[in-house]
Amino acid sequence: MKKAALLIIGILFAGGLLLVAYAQEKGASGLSKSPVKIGQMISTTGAYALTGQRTLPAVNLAVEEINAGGGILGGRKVELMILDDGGIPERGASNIRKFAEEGCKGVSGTAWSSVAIAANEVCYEKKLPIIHSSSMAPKAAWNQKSWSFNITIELAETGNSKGLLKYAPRPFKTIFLIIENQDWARGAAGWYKSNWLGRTAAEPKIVGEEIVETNQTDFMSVLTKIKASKADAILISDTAAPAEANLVKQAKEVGLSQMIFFVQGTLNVDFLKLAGSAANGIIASETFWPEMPFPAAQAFVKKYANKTGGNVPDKITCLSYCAVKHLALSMDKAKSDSNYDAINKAILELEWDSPKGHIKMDPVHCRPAGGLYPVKAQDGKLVLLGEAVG
Amino acid sequence: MPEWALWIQYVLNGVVSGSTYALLGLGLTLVFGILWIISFVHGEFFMLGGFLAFYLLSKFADVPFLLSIPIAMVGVGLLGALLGKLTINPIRDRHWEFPMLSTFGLSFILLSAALMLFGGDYRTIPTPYNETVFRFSHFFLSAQKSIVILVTILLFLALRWILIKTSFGRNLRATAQDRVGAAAVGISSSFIYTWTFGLACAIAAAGGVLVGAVFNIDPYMGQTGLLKGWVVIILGGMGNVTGAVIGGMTIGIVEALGTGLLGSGWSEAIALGVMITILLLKPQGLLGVKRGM
Repeated sequence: MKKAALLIIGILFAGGLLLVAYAQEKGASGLSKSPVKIGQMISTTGAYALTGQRTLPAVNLAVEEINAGGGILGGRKVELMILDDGGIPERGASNIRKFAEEGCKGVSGTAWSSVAIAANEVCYEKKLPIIHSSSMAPKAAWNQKSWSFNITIELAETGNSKGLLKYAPRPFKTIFLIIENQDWARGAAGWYKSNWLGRTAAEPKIVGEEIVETNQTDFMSVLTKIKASKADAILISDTAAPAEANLVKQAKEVGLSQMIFFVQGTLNVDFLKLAGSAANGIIASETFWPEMPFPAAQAFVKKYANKTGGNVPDKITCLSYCAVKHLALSMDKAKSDSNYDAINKAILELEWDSPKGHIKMDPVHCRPAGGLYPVKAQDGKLVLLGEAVG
Repeated sequence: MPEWALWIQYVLNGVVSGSTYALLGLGLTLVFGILWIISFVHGEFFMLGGFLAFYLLSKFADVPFLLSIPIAMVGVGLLGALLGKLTINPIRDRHWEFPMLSTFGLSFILLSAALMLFGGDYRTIPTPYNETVFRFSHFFLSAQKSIVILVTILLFLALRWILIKTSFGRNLRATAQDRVGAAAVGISSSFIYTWTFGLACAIAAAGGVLVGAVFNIDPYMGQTGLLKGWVVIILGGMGNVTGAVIGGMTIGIVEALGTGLLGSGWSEAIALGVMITILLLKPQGLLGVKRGM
């Protein structure tokens, strides 16, 4: 009897040990670990719907790559919870609350500054680390109150690219500004004005300024005015590709021979397609474009094309991809999906080679510094002109 | 460029933009001024005309651009007539809100259908005329914009001829003046409503083709154009086709001169200010007829 009891206890004990070992092995392989949920804000409706629809495949691609590489935090898969912000700040804020309720551990945010600023407040309240993709307003990434990051440069840097001037095909003394009637465009133009236009006798003088509407199509009278002003160059600060395309096509019609500069980030795929040969010769600075001659950029373009049946990624698409990856990799570096301070520290310290170039966050601006390249439009593509200007 | 030439160029620019406004106004003045229907769907037929021409010219490169205009007019005109018969005719005798709401709903249906079928991307209608620019002395005008002005004049003259010289036109005017009396002499108001609506849609489609060739097409272009159309017909006088053209040209020229004077941001405000001033002096519009209350 005693022997039988000892035998049973021994079997049970061995079985228990085996069970524990099996459970530990399963845990190590990650098969039983829950995924790391990341909230992703995208505008799939509203004024920015087209951009959002292009961005979706890119963020999914980022997650697929992370998971194919073994996931993060010991083999855990990354899963996106995607919500539409519609370009509306209030919706951005409510999305963050939903992300928090649904167990998201961080947020890959929006391209739109007003939405980003609204979302940041709630992220701080919910202690959710957040990286926005393309919001350039200073308050979209800040560390005055809490951490919130951005994967693109700040608005101020768009106007700080003095190096762009040396790529002008000829010197110019006077310039006319065309500015879209919205905050970003006005801000970008403002930075150009305060950084390299008209401050001294040596700098190009601003001879005129016209505010145009986002959905404006007819610019003939504006361009007639520019023709009469005899300005040497034109600076266009406009985010709407159709309006930009109409502007440059009509400039050709009016017979303007001035050099045309675009502010950073507006010489995009849609504009080049609509403007056609009228875009040739336009100079700007960009952080990403499909012909960017760097291996990581080309690899991303190829993967995106494979995923979308041949489509070409634009700047916001690339930045959104980078934002998701940076957040996930930072959690892995911090060895935690819930330690807010550790993750933010990791976001700040993480360095990696992304499609848009080397990413290392600037602790003051909470964004990667630099990575702004001079480009020229030629035959429907952008051509790199030289080293980074910002 | 001398100062005097600058202002003449502004006027020329204004005639071009005014022509596109006039095309929107011509059709709308038929629908509202003659059929007494407040139509929110007119802009969508303007948009559909542009898309029909775009796909026609993209798929069949041999089709001349100028031929795409009447093709778009016939296609969209027939669609407009059919939709008018199905959605507006049955309720045209009800209170004015019913046809208005019907056009409101139809507008959303057509816009949604356009977004699903065509997507939201902007496109430009291919035309060989944009590259040619006529330059004379200090002035310039592209061949494409010359076509806009010419087509507007032709459509205006054609519409006037239809209204004055054809039996359809006489019946249309009779129905507009007194529907009961017209019915008493055997004029079918159903037929008149259907085909007047179709004619208005056809003219809007021509506008869409021309605007799409000069600027862009997108599913929302009709909604932004509709407001201008209303301004034009109110200014010109509701139901008056000549008034629609004069109203369109007035708005276009004032906007262009406003840009020259104060800047692009003020041009619409100036144009609307001029419209309000004219209406204060002449509430029925430039060529409208005073009606009793």
